[in-house]
Amino acid sequence: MKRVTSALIMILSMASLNTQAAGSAHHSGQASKHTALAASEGVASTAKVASVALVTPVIVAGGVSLVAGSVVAEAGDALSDGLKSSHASSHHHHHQHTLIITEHTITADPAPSQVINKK
Amino acid sequence: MKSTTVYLFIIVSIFSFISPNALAGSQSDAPSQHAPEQIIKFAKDVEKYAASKGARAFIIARVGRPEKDLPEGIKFTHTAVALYSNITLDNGEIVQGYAIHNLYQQSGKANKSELVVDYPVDFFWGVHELTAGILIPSAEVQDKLIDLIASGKDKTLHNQNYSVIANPFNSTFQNCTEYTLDLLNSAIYNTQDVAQLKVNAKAHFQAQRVKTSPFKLFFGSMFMDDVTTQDHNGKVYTTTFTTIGQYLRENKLASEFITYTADGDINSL
Repeated sequence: MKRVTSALIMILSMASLNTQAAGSAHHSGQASKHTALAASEGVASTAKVASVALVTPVIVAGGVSLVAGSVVAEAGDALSDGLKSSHASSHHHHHQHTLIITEHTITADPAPSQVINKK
Repeated sequence: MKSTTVYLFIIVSIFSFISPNALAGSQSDAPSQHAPEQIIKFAKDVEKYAASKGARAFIIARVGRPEKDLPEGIKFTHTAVALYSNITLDNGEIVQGYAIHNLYQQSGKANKSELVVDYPVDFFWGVHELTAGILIPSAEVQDKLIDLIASGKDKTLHNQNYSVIANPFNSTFQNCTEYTLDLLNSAIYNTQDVAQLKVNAKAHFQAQRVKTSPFKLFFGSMFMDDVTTQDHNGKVYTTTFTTIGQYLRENKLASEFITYTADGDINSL
């Protein structure tokens, strides 16, 4: 009976350890992802792995494409490329034309603690 | 002897719960189960499929664990909102693709969540199966969803208190799918009043009954930080990618509701 109780206590400890281990795996998982992506650059000929400095949703309002948080002049230039293939229908909201997608492989940067610890 | 049997039963129950096969969470850190090249290609294929449909905003889901290991009726383990975006790279180049707006569990704090923007290859990195759930709302809902997120008002809907089986009809806890539902309803009803959103969800949204062993739920709520039944009264219901899709479809607000596989197979849901 005592042995069973001990086993139960041990398992409960493992359960909490398991939860913590899953959390700390975040950084190692992210690290291995970036390493693997970097290594795969040579394999995927057209796709380059790229990190992001800024991301802004594309807004289509009143027939004019806008970048959220940007001035209109910048947005017009940036989006004229992005929505090139759907330009003909950009005068209304409900276009169903193919949008341009970059061939770059975009990835989120590693966690801050990993970036700092690498230095 | 009898009590020994009871103890052993408890131990077996706990083991069955703490195994990785229990319930799904919203982690951003799962190790890869596929070759990087496969994930890169699949992630890009999913982007191009959505782009071919002209989707500027869509709901995206992944299969993090084998379906046989999930409660009946649950196939996808994480859901988020993908927005067609201008992405400025480190070198200053501006490219177009989808940025994914997620609610993920915090690293090391499974019962807390944070909002994270990542990209398709990040999203699918740790999946069990290279299959995506794609739900493209009507153009009007897409516009409203983009406006909501671009304005930053989406963040006001975030509840840091996480439960993998959060009840969508109250605001005690929230998981990734409930956050997605809250975003959609906020966009549709043009409000960030959470109480009103919950009333509306109760009136119109059909949640997924979580059919799993009461022992698993009992011990899970005792020993796992991200599982609690505190916000449920009786049977457990939660939000899933599938129930969100059904909700939009029943309200004639879905233009595409499918699964997309690595082989390019498309199946309607």
